[in-house]
Amino acid sequence: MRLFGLFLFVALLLASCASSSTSTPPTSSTRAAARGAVLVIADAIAAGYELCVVYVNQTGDETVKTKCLGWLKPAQEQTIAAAEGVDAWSAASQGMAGCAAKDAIAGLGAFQKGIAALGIAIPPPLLAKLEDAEALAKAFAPLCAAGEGGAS
Amino acid sequence: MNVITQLADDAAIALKLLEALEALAQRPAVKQMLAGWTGANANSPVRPIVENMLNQAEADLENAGTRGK
Repeated sequence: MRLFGLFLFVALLLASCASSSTSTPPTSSTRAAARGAVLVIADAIAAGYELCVVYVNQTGDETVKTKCLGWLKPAQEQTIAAAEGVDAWSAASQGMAGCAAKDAIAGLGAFQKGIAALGIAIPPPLLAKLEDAEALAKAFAPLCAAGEGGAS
Repeated sequence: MNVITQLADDAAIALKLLEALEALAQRPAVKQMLAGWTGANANSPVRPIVENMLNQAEADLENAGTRGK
């Protein structure tokens, strides 16, 4: 009987460890990665703004300024929404963060295409930042699919 | 027996997640960003940082081309 009690205790302990191993460490790692992803996306948008600033200062072309704001401002708003979702980190906010990150990347894609159409060369460091941001947003797309997707 | 099966399933899920994170962290910029959020800053909000960074960048563009006018 004592042996059975001991076995039961060990079984309960193992079950408790199993349940904590599925929730706590992966969730905190995923949240850390999501925070990193949001910062990478924000960094890419800031670099996009910087490219436009340099071009407008050199040429004085106000139409490029307006176009850049039109492409980057929506991406900026979605990235801030994604950051809010990551900070709250509830089931619904995770979905919102995933969808907002996806929309931010769509905005960056429009910026990249628009800049190329204007004949403005995108420097390799900015291209690398855009690629990183896209890769991370894709990795977090399942959060959008799993959540409620209130950002779009 | 169920407990052992459950443990094996949990370990497989955790391993898949870790593999995915490891693949993401291969990119230098991502590695750098991740490092800031797994240690002392693990519970710090990211929104104020993002908001300040992007609002400043936007303001810089709005002011671009106006110098000397």
